[in-house]
Amino acid sequence: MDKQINLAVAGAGKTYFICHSINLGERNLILAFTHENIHNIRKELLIAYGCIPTKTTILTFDAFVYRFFVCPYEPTIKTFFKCDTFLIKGITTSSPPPNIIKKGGRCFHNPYYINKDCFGHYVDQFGYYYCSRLSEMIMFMDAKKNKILKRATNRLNLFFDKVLIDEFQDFREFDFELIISISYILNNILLVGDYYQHSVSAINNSGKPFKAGKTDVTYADFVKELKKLHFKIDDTSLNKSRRCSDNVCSFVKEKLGINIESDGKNNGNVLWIEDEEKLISYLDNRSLLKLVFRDSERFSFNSMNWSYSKGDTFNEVCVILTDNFESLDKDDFSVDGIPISTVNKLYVALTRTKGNLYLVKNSLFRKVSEQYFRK
Amino acid sequence: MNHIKSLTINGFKKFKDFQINFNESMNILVGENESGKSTILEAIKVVLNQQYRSSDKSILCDLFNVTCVNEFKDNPSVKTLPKILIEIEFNLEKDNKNAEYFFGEVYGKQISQEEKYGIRFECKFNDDIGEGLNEFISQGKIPYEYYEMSWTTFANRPYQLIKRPLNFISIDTTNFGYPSFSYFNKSLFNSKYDDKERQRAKNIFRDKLEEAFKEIELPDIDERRKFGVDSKKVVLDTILSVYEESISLENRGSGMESLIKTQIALNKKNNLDVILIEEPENHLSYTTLIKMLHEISNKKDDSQIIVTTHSNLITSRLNLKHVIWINDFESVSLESVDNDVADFFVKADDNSFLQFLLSKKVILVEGATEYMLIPYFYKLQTGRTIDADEISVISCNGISYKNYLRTVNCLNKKIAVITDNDGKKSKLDDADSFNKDEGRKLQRIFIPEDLNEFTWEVCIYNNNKNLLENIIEVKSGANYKYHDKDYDQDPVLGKMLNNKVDSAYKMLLSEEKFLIPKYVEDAIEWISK
Repeated sequence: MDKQINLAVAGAGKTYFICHSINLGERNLILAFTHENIHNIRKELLIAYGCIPTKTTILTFDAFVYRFFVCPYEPTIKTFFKCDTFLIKGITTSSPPPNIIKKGGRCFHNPYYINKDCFGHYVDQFGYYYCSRLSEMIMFMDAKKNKILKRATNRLNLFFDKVLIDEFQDFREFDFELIISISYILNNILLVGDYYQHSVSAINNSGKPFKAGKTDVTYADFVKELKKLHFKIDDTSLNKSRRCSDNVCSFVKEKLGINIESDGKNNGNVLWIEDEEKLISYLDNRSLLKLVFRDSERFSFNSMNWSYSKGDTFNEVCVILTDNFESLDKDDFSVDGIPISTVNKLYVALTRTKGNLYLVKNSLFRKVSEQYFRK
Repeated sequence: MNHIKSLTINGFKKFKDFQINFNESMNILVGENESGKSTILEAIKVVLNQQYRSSDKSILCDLFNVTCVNEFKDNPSVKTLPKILIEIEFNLEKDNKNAEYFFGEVYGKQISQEEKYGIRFECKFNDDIGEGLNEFISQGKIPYEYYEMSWTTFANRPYQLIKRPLNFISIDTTNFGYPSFSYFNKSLFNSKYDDKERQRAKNIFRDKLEEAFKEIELPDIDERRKFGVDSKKVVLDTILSVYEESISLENRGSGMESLIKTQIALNKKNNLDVILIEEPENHLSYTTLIKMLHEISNKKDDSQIIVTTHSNLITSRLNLKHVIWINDFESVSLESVDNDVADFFVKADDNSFLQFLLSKKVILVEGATEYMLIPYFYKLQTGRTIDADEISVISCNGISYKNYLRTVNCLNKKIAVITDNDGKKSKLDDADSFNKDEGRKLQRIFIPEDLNEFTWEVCIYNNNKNLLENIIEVKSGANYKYHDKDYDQDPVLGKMLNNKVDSAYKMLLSEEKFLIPKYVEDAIEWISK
């Protein structure tokens, strides 16, 4: 019985850690939130073992819930929702109708919304499960004393020796609840994640466990909550960035208040770009990646959105700041008042480089940006 | 051990609604011709091998159960259209690579129930693509082209051959020729080597083939064209054959071929979980069959074996306890037969067990004379032939009738035993207490009550002295002894006792109206009811 959470910093090698936490002779199940994560895990396994170990299965979380909690128990689900004649066809990534719609600043109840206790809340009219409501359905059934969650988790114990979940800070609301609930029953579970990278992925940015009502949950509170559960918390194994240099880490620590240290193996400086001419030459440099807050596709230079760069490593990067961070170079800069998700996204952007980190204020960038808009 | 636990068939060929459980090691399927033994093996292949997956839909008219089709014709509607459902339940080792893929509650009644391993095959009319066919269907026509076949695991995932849950091979001796070989060779190749090894072999083979052709340096056809090898036409696993001392299996006699195939299949190194063998007695001489049975008995615990047969020898040698009797409606396992009885039949393999098992009603007799005369007596007494009444006469030939009776505890079968009292009071008492057993209403022992009438011939003779004087010729002055007793007073009886079969044959030829001994008459009266 082993239930552990590893809290990591950016570039500490979470994926590397996951891939080296498996026992090759055992049946492992590795889960991640996005296909991008899955891709990185596969890559890392190939580097480590030359192939995907035969007894190891890698799945996105949605596929996991569908295959292990929904498919084998459809008769139970249909009986629960009293719809035995209904034919199920698969899953859909389309969004279910929301409860509330906003129109002209006012909120209306959506007439197409179907309540949680009806099958239609989880399945569209053509017989496809809404991907985004799979966990919700299982948690709803669990709350109503149906044994599906327990049975499915025991089934997992039967076929897997260890369940490993990468980037667990990406899981929210029902997905998070599901993970916590099954962790009580699973024999072995390892969660790896970086608190400060939460709310960075394009979807799933709101709610539990990083919000309590309307307030953000701080790192300290978050760890305290996890400790109250039954996990062993390890926040030292992955507390040094293998990617970022001392200079970059100190800068992030000082400016964003995030506790990140470097293992000191890579070198690189934090360099501000302060004149137009220099900026243009950097923008024109095709081999230097520019990280922009959003809409990278609008620019003709080599660029990527802050949040999309999550999980990537580059030799050096240039981060184009937003107006929130005009005073980032000042000694009295503070993140107070800036949305946590924005701060976390910047954290991701700043920690992508193995070498130099170039910074540009938005005020300077705006002077030249127009010539780089794609027609 | 990986094996097939049970098979459920609905609406397929012989079976409208059928269920059979298999033993983990040996299974001997017996039954009349057309009872559905082959249909069971075929159903397993349909599910595991996805047989008919790419066949033309017209094949369906051979696959549907006739009763289902008739029910549809009597009351044609979309709801009553015939459909096929076959489910196989397995036992899989949970560490098996794909075991998880097969484990769930989506089977049978499809309710919230215990998870099992298995695959579900369904063939039914697809409402979506077949919309608007109501009129066609209401005329009693089956829209084959709009049927859909699906293979799904009990975990509700699509079943693909690549995720085959267990390795199985089918040895079909009823059907020789190229297809049976290529299928056998291919199955063996697949189970013997893993994916990697097979891909490697295929790759090297293709490369070398192209290389070899290049080395021949054939002149080009013309300036722009030349011959090349189309590697799609020469795929390694389709041209493989098994060789023994440089003779290919295809070139051995049919009998040897069965034996060799069985030996290969039974070899543990070939990783086969399930071996299907159809009527191994075909094409085999007695000695080869004995050799094959020996191999099977020795290795039966390494794999699950499912054999169909019509042979008493096979049934007895492979142990009666493993017999599953298939009849039109159900499968009956003889698992509960006592060990000592089963062991007895393994040794006494020269028996008529299958006939005994498959008959509706049986008269068990001591030997050849009764066997010859009872059908004649039956006709005399009832005016009907014994065959028409579906009653078999089985001669025990020295095997005590008790052994036969002890195999039927689990069966509902009417059996009359006609036996001698051997002049012993104890035999009368045994029969009496047997007949008084309330639990045995279906089996009855008939035995002469007079201890002087110690055997069949004596009873016949006492009832028919005058007739027999004319039929059985006795040389004057001949002295007949039987069991150290002189028969000077009754030389005819003396001769009958010494020449039992000949005398019975002469009685048959005479076509006389013999007086049937009372206990035999009672037996015929009782069994014909």
